[in-house]
Amino acid sequence: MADLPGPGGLYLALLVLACGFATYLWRGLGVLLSGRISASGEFFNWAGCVAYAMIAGLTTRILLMPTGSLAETPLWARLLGCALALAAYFYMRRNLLIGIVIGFLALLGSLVLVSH
Amino acid sequence: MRCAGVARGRAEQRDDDRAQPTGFPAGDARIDRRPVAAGYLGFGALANGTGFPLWAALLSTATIFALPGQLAMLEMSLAGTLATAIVVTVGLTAARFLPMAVTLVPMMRAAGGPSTPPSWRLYAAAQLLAMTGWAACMRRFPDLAPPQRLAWFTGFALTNWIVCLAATGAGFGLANSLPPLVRQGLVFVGPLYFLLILTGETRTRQGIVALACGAVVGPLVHVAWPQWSVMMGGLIGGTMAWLYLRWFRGAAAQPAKHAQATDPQRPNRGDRGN
Repeated sequence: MADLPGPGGLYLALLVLACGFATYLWRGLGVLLSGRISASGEFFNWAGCVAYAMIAGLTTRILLMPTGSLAETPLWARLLGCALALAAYFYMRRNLLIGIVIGFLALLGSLVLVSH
Repeated sequence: MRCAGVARGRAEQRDDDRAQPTGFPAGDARIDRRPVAAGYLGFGALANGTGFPLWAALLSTATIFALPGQLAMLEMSLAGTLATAIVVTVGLTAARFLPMAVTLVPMMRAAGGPSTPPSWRLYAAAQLLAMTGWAACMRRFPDLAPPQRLAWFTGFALTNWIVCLAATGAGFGLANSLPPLVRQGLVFVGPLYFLLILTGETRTRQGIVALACGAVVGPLVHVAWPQWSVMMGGLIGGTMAWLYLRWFRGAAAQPAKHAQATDPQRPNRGDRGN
C-alpha cells in the first residue's frame, strides 16, 4: 500500500503526539474549567454540532469512498453490509456486537460470492 | 470497588434496560454496552491495511484515545493533508471531551476537606476520559462516596485503555495473518461501529440534525476537496445544523423542553442550579 508522506518515522511520531496533545487540551481544559462554567452555552452547542457532523461525514465518506484495502470492495457489498448490520442492530434491541458481526459477515459473504 | 470496575467491561454489555438511579434516561446507559474494543480492532486492521506502522497505531491509541480522532488522523495522513490541518481536525473532533470533563470532575472533587484528590491526579485521570468511562461514571457515581469516585473512574478507564491498546495490536496483527477477504471485513468494522453508534445512540435533536448535515456534507466536500473533507465537512455541516437549530429554537421558544434534553455528549447542567 501507499507509503505515508513526509520524512518517515520522526514526522509520524511528532504528528501522533501533536494529535494526542490536541485531544488532551479539551480533557485538561475540562478539568480546569470544571465547576466554573456551564456546559450548556451557545459555544458548546456549536462545538457539539461540529463534532457530530465531523464524525458523521467521516463515517459516510469512509463507507462510500474508502481508501486503502476497503477501496477494493464493491460499493454494493459495503451498502449491503451496512443495511444488514443496521437491521440486526435494531432488531436485536440495539445490540452493537451482533450488528457489527452481522455487517462483517455480510460483507465477507458478498466478497466470497463475487470472487467465485 | 476497584475490582468491580475491572470486571465491568464485560458485564456492561449484558446490562440491558436496568433502572436508572441517576435520573438519566435509559438511552444513556446503553452507551456502556458499546464493545469499544471492536472499534479498535478495526482501527488496528485499518492501520495495517493502509501502511500505517504498528508503533504509530499503538501510540495513537495511547495518546489520542479517541477513535473518531484516530480515524481522522489516519485518513488525513494517507490523503497527504498538511500536518497542521490534521492536528486541528483531530483537536476539533475531540471537543466533546470538554463538556464531559466539566461534568465529571466536580463529582470526583465533591469530597472537600482532606480527602479531595490533588489536582495532578485529576489532570492525569483526564487522559483516560472517553465516552465509555464517562457514561459509566455518570451512572455509578451517585451510589459511591465521593472519595471513592476517582479510584473507581481510574480502575474502569485504565482497564478500558489497556483493552483498547491490546485490541489495536490484535487488529493489526490479525490483519497480517488473515486472508485478504477477512482483512477487508475487519477494516469494515471501524466505520460500521460508528454507523451503528451514531444512528442508534443519538437521541437528541441537536445530535440528529448535526449527524444528518454532516453525513450529507462530508462526502460532498470530499469530492471537491479531498484533503480537507473531514475538517471542512464538519465545520460546514455542523454550522449548518447549529444555524438550523438556533433558527428553529428562536421560532418556537420552549425552554422547558430543552431543559429535559439530555445529550450523552453535552449533558444538561440545569439541575445543578448554575
